[in-house]
Amino acid sequence: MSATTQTDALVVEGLSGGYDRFDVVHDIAFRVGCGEAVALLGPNGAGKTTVLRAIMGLLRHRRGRIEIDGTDVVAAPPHRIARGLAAMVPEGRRLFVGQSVEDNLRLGGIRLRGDRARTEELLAGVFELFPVIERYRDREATALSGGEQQMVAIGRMMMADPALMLLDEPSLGLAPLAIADLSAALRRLREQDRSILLVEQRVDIALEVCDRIYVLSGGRIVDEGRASDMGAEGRALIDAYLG
Amino acid sequence: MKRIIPGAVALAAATALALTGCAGDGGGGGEGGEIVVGGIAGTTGAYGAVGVAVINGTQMAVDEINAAGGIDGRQIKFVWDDDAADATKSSQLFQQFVSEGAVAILGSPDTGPTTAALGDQMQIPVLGAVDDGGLTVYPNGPDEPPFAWTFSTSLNTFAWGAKIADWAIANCPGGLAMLHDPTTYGLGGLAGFQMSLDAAGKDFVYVESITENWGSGATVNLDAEIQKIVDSGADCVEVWLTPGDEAAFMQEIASLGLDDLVVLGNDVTNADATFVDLAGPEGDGMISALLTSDVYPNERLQEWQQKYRDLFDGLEPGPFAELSYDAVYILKQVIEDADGATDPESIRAGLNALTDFDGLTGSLSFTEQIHTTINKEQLTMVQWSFDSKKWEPIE
Amino acid sequence: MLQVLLSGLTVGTIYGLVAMAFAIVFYVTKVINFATGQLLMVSILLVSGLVKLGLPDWLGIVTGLVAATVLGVATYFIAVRPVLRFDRFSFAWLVSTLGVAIVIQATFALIYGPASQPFPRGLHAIPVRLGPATLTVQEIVTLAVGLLAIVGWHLVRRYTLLGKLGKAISTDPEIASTVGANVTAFAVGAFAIGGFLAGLAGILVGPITYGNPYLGDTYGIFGFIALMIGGIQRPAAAMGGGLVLGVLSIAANTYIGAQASDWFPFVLVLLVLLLTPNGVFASGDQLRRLFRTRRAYQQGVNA
Repeated sequence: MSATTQTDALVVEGLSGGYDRFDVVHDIAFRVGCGEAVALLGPNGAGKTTVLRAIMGLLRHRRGRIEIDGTDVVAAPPHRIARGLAAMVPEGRRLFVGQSVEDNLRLGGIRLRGDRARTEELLAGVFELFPVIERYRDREATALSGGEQQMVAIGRMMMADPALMLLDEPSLGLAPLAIADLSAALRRLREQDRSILLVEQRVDIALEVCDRIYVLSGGRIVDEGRASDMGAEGRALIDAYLG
Repeated sequence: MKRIIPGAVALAAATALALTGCAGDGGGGGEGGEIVVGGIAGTTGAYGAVGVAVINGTQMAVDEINAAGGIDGRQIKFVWDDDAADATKSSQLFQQFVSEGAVAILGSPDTGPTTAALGDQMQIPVLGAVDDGGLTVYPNGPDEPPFAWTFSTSLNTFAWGAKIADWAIANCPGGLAMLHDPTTYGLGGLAGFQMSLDAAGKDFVYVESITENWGSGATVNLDAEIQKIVDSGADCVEVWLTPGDEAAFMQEIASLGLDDLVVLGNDVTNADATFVDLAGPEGDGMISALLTSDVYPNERLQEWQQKYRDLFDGLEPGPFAELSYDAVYILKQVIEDADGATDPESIRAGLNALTDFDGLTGSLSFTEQIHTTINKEQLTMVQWSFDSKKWEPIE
Repeated sequence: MLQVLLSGLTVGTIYGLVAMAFAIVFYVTKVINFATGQLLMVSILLVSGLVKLGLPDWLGIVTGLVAATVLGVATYFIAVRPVLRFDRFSFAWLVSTLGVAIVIQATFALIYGPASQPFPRGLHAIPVRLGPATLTVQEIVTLAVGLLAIVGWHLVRRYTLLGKLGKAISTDPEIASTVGANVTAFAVGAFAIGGFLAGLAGILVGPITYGNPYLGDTYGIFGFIALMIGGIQRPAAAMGGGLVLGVLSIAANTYIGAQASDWFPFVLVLLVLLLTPNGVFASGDQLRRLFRTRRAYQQGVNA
């Protein structure tokens, strides 16, 4: 644990849940410290997205304890959790169709609609991190390239200024150059002391960006460790899990 | 508030009766048992008030007869249900009542063509408010024989059409236009008009068929028709439509300032208060025909009307209640004249021979060729006066 | 000619308002509220009943509008939310909203009886001459309300963050909820607006069609046809569908014959569905594709 972390951004204990009374994840426990970046790794179907959806409130059937920034949200609907606790980049980006880049970003910051100055400040922050999308601010968001769309999705999450940032497979489907840009952007967020939970298939990105990792398999956490401790042996172990 | 008996409740009541009372014996009713009479009427839907009047008038007669000892000592069992103006429902009810032993079917004012056709097919007498007479009873036109088993005491579109046409021929020098409903109701009225116009060697200057919303009561936009009527130069127009559309027509021509156009109605215009309620002050001046017995009610009818109001929470009586009441007493007389025989053939023969029956709606007769009791001789031309709130006679 | 156009636009605005009521509910919830026509009936009959009891017209109208709005919201809580909670992809609302329609209709038939009730003529009694055509003030107000509805909807959707959030909910309710949209509140709002618009259509058409418990059938069906013509995806297009239906129906009445209004709307909707399955005003994609295919084919022939 880093010395500067005083409280945890996220504490998950005894989390089980899934769809229609059929549990996908079982008795999950992990934490993300304030200002810490944590990766959730695992093979396809391990339950990574399910855990992320449970934290965001999108999973109807969930039990246990999910505490974001000191608030238990296991029974809260997503629009409550979105009020400053968590924001997310969903798998496949899912930008709002038929709306401009700027509108997508402003919708991300809709919880702050009373605070004009803060919204403009956050928007400036997004454009500073991703200068390319400022040029396209009036274009329809879904007309952009995959990498640019991913920047909009991350920007939309940043606009909420949340206590916890959730990212689901942001590298999926991106070209190598775009992945490099993405990786750099994530490191910048990390440097801004944001608390991040990243779900990734690409182990290299996860290790580059994150402080710690958890490995999920078959709906359970099977391993954890510090990214800096991951030697060749550790990577081999993770690769074995990822199949 | 108008008295409405919802279909489901009535069905439950009918079922309860069927469980506790004697079941019919499948034809004619046993000696000394109840005489089952079936009733079919649309008591729901936008124009359900007519069906309610039919059922109330019938029930009133049945209760009186039963209280006075029945027909030849046998009680009448009146079973009825709402056909919701639906032909399929009507034919199901017809067959149900016949299987319960009904000796005759009264109605329906809403699905007359169905009950009349089934009467001939199943050889069961059909009596009372069978739609509005006319083409429902004489399916091949006024000069051809009627349905052999259907005897209508109902208002008769032929009679109203011919009567109003006679008035128009004398009072509309600029020409006559007509908008009519496309069912047997409107076509019956058209046939009635045509009879008088042909006799006088005249014709319409404009005639058009208008599809209406009998079920929902929504009015039809008649702006385009009004324009065509004006263009035709007619100074009178027969609006043979629903009371709602007639009211809308009156208000529309008032808005347009067409004060000189004379508007003629039909038998339903003044059968109840629907038209005058909806039309308000703009309904003033509407011309139609009314049963002479209703224009000048005798003491007996006035007493009867007061009794009706008392029985049904102040509901205004109208011709449909009166003529349905008459139908039950006609049935009683026919059965008594046949020494209590209730087989269909005896009843039919008795009805064909009915002469000068003294009813609320006048002196009523049937012959082999005439199966409607109300004819144009029994009608008087009337005009609605908004000030006096009365249909005032104009002849 | 002018009269046909104006009469058609007036009738069409009523159909359009009902169609918009359908479309706004669908826009947010992807549910079609089959009780929409009955909400129109409720506002008409409440005005008829209250005015008969001696209340001033305006109070009756306010009550009618509030009742239609409240009943719209009640429909959501009684017939839509429970079935969607049970199964998000269920189509049970097809039956449950129809059930609400039948219950509302039967209740009003029981209270009012089946016969039509008079409706205060109000502004409909005042004619206005516009050259060769005549309209009533009520009809002019109707046209203005229709215009206001379409422009208002456009402005809210296009230029307010709330409207954009509504659009976001329409396209992806789950992600919209993760940026803070209370999807349930929006659904309630949509049913309320739907109820209000249907009630408003009722107030506007009341003096013309009077109050009857069974009116919901006729106006529900014509509103739905307008919705199909305009396209179900966009509420403003639904209003357009109403106007097209109104004008063409009156034109068919005038130039084809009085019976035309009976079959004409159905032929129209069939044509629309064949040519542009998403409605006339949907996006034009289908038409464009149709012409592009032909052009591509001709180019192929020329080459």
